[in-house]
Amino acid sequence: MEALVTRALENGVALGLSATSLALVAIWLVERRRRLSAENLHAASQERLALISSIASLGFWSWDAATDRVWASKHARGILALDDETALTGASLIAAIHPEDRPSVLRIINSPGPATDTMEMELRVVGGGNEIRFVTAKACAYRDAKKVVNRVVGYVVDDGQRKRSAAELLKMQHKLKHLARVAMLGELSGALAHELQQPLTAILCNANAAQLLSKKDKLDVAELQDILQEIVSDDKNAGQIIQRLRALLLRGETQFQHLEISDLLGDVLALARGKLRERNIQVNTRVDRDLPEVLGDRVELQQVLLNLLLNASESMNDNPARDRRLEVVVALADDESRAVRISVLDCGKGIDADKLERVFDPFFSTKDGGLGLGLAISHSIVIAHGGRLWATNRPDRGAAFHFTLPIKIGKESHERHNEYSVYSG
Amino acid sequence: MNGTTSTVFIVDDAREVRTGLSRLLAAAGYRVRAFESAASFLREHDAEAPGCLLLDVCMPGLSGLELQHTLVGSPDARPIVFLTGRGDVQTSVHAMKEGAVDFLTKPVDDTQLFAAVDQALKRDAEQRLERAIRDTIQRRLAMLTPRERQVMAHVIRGRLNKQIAADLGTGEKTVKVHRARVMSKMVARSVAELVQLAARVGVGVEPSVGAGTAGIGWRQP
Repeated sequence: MEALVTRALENGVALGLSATSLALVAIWLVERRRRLSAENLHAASQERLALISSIASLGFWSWDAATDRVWASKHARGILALDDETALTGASLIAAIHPEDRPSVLRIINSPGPATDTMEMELRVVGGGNEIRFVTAKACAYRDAKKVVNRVVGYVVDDGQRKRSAAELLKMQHKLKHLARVAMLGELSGALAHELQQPLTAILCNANAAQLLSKKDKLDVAELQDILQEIVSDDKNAGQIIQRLRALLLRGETQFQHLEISDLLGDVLALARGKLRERNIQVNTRVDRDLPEVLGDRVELQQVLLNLLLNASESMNDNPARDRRLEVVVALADDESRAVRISVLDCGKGIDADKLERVFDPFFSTKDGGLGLGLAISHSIVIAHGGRLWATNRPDRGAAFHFTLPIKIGKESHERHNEYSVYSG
Repeated sequence: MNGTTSTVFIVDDAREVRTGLSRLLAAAGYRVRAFESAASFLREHDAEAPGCLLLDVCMPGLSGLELQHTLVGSPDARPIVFLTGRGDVQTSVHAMKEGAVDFLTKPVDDTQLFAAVDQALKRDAEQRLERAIRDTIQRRLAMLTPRERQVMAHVIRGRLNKQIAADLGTGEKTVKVHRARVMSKMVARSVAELVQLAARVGVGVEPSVGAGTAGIGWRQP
């Protein structure tokens, strides 16, 4: 370009044009060049912005309080599921946010703050087809002299990928829980087989008895009916054992429902009965009457209880056979937490004081051949239920494991446990 | 089938198994009594009543094996047929060594069960007969005076009245009277019979160490 101007000037001189007109041409040329380069720059920066926003999945937007107009980049409109045609206002931005997350956003916007105020939060937005997306929103609010927000500029990032990994993680944890359950049931299998043999033995005996009776001259119909009744009930018992086993073996979705702790305990004790019997463990249960229901996943809570019961029974391996008492106490938690507390008490060796916390660490095991995952998984299950799991030593001897489960309080507590909650611990 | 008044004592903590076994054995003509634990059996059973035990191995509290161990050698002992949920070789060997009649695995075949129970009841009858005989002999022995016992000890060693008299420092006639009383009190028709009776309750003759009176003794069973 410069070369061009220089040449034009040279040519101009050669053509005998006046210095003034030459100067005008020069100015025009320089001005044009400046404009062109600015346009180029603008286009380039636009291009770069688009590139960055697509790579980083960033969507830019701004809101002007005076006009209530919203400008949003194409990507932002995509993330927030805003139509191009929509005359965008502050309200349409708020409307894009998941109803449950709206209050917290509004609270932040309306709270007093410094002149410029940046905020970052994770929220859910409702996209097309009511699809829920996870986004991270970062925004900067500018306030006027009266500290009222007059402009907000920000961007949103689609967290889909990150949340998808979180979902993957959740799935892995689910698998792990299931594996731990399978391992635990493997440990129980011998005792369970034994347990199944009881009704099977009874059925065979009853059927054989009926065969003998039917060969007699005088049929004792009443006795035969009794026998058939017994066979039916024994068969049902055998079925129940298999049913309970199946429920724990299946890898279903986590399902929160209202549960009676006493039912849960009954099922788990029935499953563990054979094993406890084999180990000569006497079980004593104290369940408060009229306990409120808790909200939880039946299978996962059974897993926790079974884990604690088996650990407790194993801790008493070195006790003489007549000194293996296990106690399960279910009562309202005595603090103000509105929770039910389940305690499993043994009279084994207890836990070294420095290990009381560490027993919940993954791969921490005091058992020979123990994977060290049982308690870690139980811990994460209880936490995901909004409860607490901890260990203490009993004053006289033995250890106690306690966990709490919040009492269901209407709808709110249910939603706390929906599928979005990510495990900790 | 069993025509006597023997009883099969069932001890099993599983209600359904107790009921099933009771029905089956009753249908086959056995007299049955069932207990839910070793402790309740020990507390309530009639040790005098002839019969056998049908015992579950694995029970809370006192296990089947522990009950066997408690009973072995006691006057309450009776033949035991074990029932187990699992065919554990070690346990069965242990139980058999302690004198169990059989070790059956659940679910149990009825023919096998009846055979084992019959064998146990037969053994119980034999043992009771043996015990009754020994009791009778003991009762007769208890009627002997110390002197008669001394004489009997010599008699069963085959010693003559003359020798016995010399050993005991008494007259031959007196020994003859004592011997006659021994034979009468023991209800023995010959010395051979007396020796047999004595042997049955463990009163016998130690191997001779030499001549004289050495080696004659009473061994209380």
